[in-house]
Amino acid sequence: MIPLPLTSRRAWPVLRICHLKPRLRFPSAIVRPIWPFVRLVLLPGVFLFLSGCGRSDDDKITVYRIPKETSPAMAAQPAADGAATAPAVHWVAPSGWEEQPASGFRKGSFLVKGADGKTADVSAISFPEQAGGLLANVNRWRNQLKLGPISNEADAGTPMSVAGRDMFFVDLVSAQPITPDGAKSRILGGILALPGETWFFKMIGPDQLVESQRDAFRQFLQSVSLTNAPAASMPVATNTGASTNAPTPPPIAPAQAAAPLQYTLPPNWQEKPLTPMRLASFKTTAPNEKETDVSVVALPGEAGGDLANVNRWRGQVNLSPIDEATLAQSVEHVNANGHDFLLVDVASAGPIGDKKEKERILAAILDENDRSWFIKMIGEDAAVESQKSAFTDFLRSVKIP
Amino acid sequence: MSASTTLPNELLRPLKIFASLRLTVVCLALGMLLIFLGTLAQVHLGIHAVQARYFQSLFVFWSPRGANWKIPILPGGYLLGTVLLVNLVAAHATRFEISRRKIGIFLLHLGVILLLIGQLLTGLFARETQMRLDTGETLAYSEAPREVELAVIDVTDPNFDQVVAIPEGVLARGGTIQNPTLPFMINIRRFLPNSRLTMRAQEPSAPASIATAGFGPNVVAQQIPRTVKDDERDLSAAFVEIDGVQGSLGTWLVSNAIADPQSFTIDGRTFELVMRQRRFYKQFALTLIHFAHDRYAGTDIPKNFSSRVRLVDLERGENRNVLISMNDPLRYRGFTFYQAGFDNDDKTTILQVVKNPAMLLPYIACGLVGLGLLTQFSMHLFGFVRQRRR
Amino acid sequence: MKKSRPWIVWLIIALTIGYVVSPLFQRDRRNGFAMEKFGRLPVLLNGRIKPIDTVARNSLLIIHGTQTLALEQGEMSAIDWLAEVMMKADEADRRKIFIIWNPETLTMLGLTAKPGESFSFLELSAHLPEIEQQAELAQKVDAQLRSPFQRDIIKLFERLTLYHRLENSVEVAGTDDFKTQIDDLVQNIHPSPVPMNSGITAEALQSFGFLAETGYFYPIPPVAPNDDPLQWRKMGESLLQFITAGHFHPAVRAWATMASAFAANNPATFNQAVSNYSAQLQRDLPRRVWKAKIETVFNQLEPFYSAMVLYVLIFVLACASWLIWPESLGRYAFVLLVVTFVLHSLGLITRMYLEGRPPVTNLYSSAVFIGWAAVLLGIFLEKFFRNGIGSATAAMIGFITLLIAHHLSMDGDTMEMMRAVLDTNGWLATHVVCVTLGYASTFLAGFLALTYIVRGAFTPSLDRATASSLARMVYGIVCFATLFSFVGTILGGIWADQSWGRFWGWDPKENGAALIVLWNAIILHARWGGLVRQRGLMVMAVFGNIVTSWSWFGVNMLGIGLHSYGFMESAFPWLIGFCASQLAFMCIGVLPPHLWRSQFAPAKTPRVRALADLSA
Repeated sequence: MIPLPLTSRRAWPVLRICHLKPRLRFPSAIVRPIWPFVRLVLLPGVFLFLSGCGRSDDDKITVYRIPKETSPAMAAQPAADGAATAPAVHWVAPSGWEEQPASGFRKGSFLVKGADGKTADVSAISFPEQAGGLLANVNRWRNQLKLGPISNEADAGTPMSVAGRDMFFVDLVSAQPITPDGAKSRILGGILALPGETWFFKMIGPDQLVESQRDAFRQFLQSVSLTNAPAASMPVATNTGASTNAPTPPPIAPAQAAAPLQYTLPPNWQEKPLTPMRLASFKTTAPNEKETDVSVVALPGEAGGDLANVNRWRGQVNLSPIDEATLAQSVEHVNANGHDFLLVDVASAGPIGDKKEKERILAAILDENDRSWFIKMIGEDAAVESQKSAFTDFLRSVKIP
Repeated sequence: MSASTTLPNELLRPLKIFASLRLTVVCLALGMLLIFLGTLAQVHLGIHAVQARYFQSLFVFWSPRGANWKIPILPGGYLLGTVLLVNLVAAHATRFEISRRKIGIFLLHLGVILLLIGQLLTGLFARETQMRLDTGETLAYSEAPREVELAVIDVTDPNFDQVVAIPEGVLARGGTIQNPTLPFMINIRRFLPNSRLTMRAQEPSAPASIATAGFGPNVVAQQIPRTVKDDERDLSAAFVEIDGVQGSLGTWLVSNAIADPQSFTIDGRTFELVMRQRRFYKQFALTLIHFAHDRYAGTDIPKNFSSRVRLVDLERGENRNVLISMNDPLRYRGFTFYQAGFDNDDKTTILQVVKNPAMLLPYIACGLVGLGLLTQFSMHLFGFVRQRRR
Repeated sequence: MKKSRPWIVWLIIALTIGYVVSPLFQRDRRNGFAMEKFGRLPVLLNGRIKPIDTVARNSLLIIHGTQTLALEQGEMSAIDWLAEVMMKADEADRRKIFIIWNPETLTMLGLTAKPGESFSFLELSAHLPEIEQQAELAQKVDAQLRSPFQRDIIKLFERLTLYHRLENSVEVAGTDDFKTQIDDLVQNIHPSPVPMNSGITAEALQSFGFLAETGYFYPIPPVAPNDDPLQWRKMGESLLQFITAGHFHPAVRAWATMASAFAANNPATFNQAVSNYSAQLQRDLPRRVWKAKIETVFNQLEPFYSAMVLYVLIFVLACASWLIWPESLGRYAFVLLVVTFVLHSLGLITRMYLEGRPPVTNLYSSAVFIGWAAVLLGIFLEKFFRNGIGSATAAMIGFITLLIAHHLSMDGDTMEMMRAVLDTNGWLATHVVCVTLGYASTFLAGFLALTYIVRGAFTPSLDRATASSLARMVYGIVCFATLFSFVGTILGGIWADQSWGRFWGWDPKENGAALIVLWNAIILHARWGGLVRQRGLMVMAVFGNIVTSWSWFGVNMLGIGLHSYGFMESAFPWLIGFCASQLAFMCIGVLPPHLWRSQFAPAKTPRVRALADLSA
């Protein structure tokens, strides 16, 4: 290697001189005499310099002595993710299946080629937890083949035993041609529920080809094995960068209350997701009517008393408050299952705010067992009117714990 | 001009070619193209590969998929930088005259020259390593995050370890290595820059390993392409055979995925074999006292990261606490320690350790360029305004 | 009307000011409720203390895409809507505010509706589990590889989550009388370090925990004189604290009173509660209240929106001045430009004051600042050349950049906290401002060149004098651009060296800045070397637009590197379209001169030398 620092050092004074003595006609006086040097030495030198050497200690074997390490570094290696609850899943692919690169949540992927150039796709996918349950997933597959959903798990497929666990084997064929060339499609599937995750093995493709591969696919399912030492002991890559954790939003579905309320759902009523305050929540969707909202809430103690609650509802529909005497006249009592409900029915005099229709609240109050129960329907006047009988039916069906 | 008489014509002509403004424009345009393509290529190649292939090279090569020949399609960063450098110097040598009116341009170009030289030197001589410290841990070395080494450690002495560190470049060349401090030869039988290791039990159909000793026979090592992602690390592996005077002791599999050393004894001395990130020992040690990760109220947006470390240098008698935080590094003995990251639930800090002899050049260059541009353009502006006023 | 008249100038100024401040005098629609005052209450969100009005506007923007809600009759302001969501969830749940554009999303939900129809939370809530599941699946795919459906379902899920969190920020959604609940709590609970010993029911405890977890913002301030942002609390946190510690901030009761009064449609109580609480905050945290007030006024005025409208007007006026009454119309356009610039500056300064930061902190503010700087340069050009070109071009850039800023603001609060490495005002004020000035001036040069090409090729109005003054403008601005982009880029390198020891890391954004520097340098060298003349200069300056837009937006779309701000899929077609249009203008620019409508002889000197040489 050429000792290059020499040449670059020689080039420096030129610049320095020009800088310090601006009056000097530097081009002719200084640079020109050295041009041969620049051309003959500097240029080739720079090239060799660049291509030849880098850091001087690169690629050199070094020998050194260090005190014995007593650091806790070895012990401090973080345990592999701690997520080793689910066992690792392995399989052996039948010969003739072409392995494809795993991608996204596909943990395994194969291409099966038929004689006529048609292909079927085999995938092994794992989802956390139940992944919606067996039936939902079978129906998802059925939907892909344009088959209607089924409601009975027994019709979904046949159980088989794999690696000492129950696997669910599914064989579905479409009723009509699905592919553009007019062939029917078939899905063979295996669903394996493990603690913490569910595995889906699936082959999808033209009916004939998949049919011919059924034995191979079953053999593939049988080859599935589990090990409790997950592949985590061999981490594929360690993330060393600073990770920015985006805040995870809290789950939308609230935690379930201890004991669910028991009731019979009137026709045209639909259950809605619960919120922590609501023990039950519905919407009514009668044909040709606007939706109304029904809620069941229980509060400790008297919760302000009947009068305060009634006046609060009156306020919501723009009515003036009433006193105790008027309250007694304006409410009716409904007896259901031995419970004495106080039924309140208030409606606004006209549309409120930007609404077009009158608002109405139909509510029942029950004080029992040191708790106050509020069952309330709110919506447009006409809609509430049409649901009034359903509301009382509902009151009768509720089992107050 | 008197100059033309002092130099023969044959020397002046090439100088003029190099001094041409057209060359400047062509170089700058090629530079734009290079930078643009280099940016796009980062999507697939990752920043490190692009840096080596596009910017720290003489040519950018292209080869069709699977072919083993390549053709240069674009001048690389080093080549363009050098040509620009020559062009600038030559231009000043032939065309420019020193005058008050040109002082701005002159300063500006001087700054650009310094910048180019600085980048060249940085590319050649700067080294970036990392130091990963758990709370309470003391380290006297930093590690290259993207380079491994094979350490052959003589652990016979109860107080000291003697280390022979073989860097990745040597491993990749393969062949036999003999070192005067070792009573045996090391034969690199295979080196996998990036690999996937699986237990043999999980892959019963895999072919038998060439490893005969240590855990090697129980592990299947498969070569996979090097990673291009910034946040991933290659897991290298190598099969090394230890060849003593009495013949081969066996072949070991080593990998930086497996931190446990494997040991063997020869001539009454015990050696350990381990593949690890390449280490660079310093004459001083750092201990992490505390890592702090401040967030903005009610968010996970980081406000600041800082590491309180103790710096101990027996040679110079330093023993003090230092706070390294974002935008506020520790500079010591030519090394600069920057807060680069954290891990392990905020209990581990990752410091970037940089040694760059050309560190000051960009600062000087920046000053010169700014001053030059400012003088030149304000002269334009004032001239223009004066003319308008008239 | 050849000469401009002073009284018209003053009239223009007065009308503009009137137009700008008019939003302040629009009265609330919600009868009786003091919503304006309510909107000024400060809360903490994303690390910043801001008026709840800002929370309302940004949330509605994310959920619905607008800052006001169009009803069948009239409009509903964001704060009215948010109050309803927080305190009268039953009603808010039935408002159709979730617009779904993606047909696949509709199919997935089994909804027979056209894309673009809107749905209420009530309607969508039945599908929440499916949406959540699909969004979770989509989230496993790399952001850049997601299909439109996957992006849409994630967005929808995020919007629903945001709505749900807003609903549960003050009280558990659907609570009828929060005030009574709080009063019961205070009377019946015997605070104890072990919550179950306090006599609280499991349900109530659970609901407080739910509030603490789900609540979106932090409404409860620290006890005065403590003013630490870290000490703000969510409603649920304060209630849980009460169970164990036995006291809570009076703000809890204030919010509860507001909630109950609002739910019960009782304006008098509501207004009283707002008023009392405001007075207390005024005593405890006067500085925060003042800032919140300024921000509310800023929100109401929407200065950048008004400026956008005014820029259109200026552009029209300036263009008209080339056809009729050049002197008077040009003068009016200039006056209007200056007034609008003052408005633009006030907006910028207010943002800087509210954030306590230099002007450019994120992509949004860079757009605002680029417009501002281009207009400032345009004013100088107009002052010297007085030919309407400075005004027209500045107004055009002002309008376009504010439009871009408007679209960038769709993601929520534009005043975000700065991540650790960016948290240095010194560098933000130097490097970022310099680079952005470089962007602004390169754009200005490019748009001046566009004016040249459009006027030259399509109208006969480009005479020799105008052409040469345009050439001088472009040349001067390119010099300016070179100065700022070069210095800014190097400063960025020094910043990088300071914070991670790498002067230049070939990061996409750095490369983008380098491209601008290189291109400006090429223009200057080509001009000096006589490689291009007047039109060549213009065509090159137009290409500068492409280079700058790539550097500003294009590199962010690669989704890699230290400066990547997330994939902006929706902006991609616009960027491509912009670049294509610029290429088209460049093609027009190189057409042979006889195809241009303006016939003027190009400068005769065979080598057009630098402007400096000419002027000296």
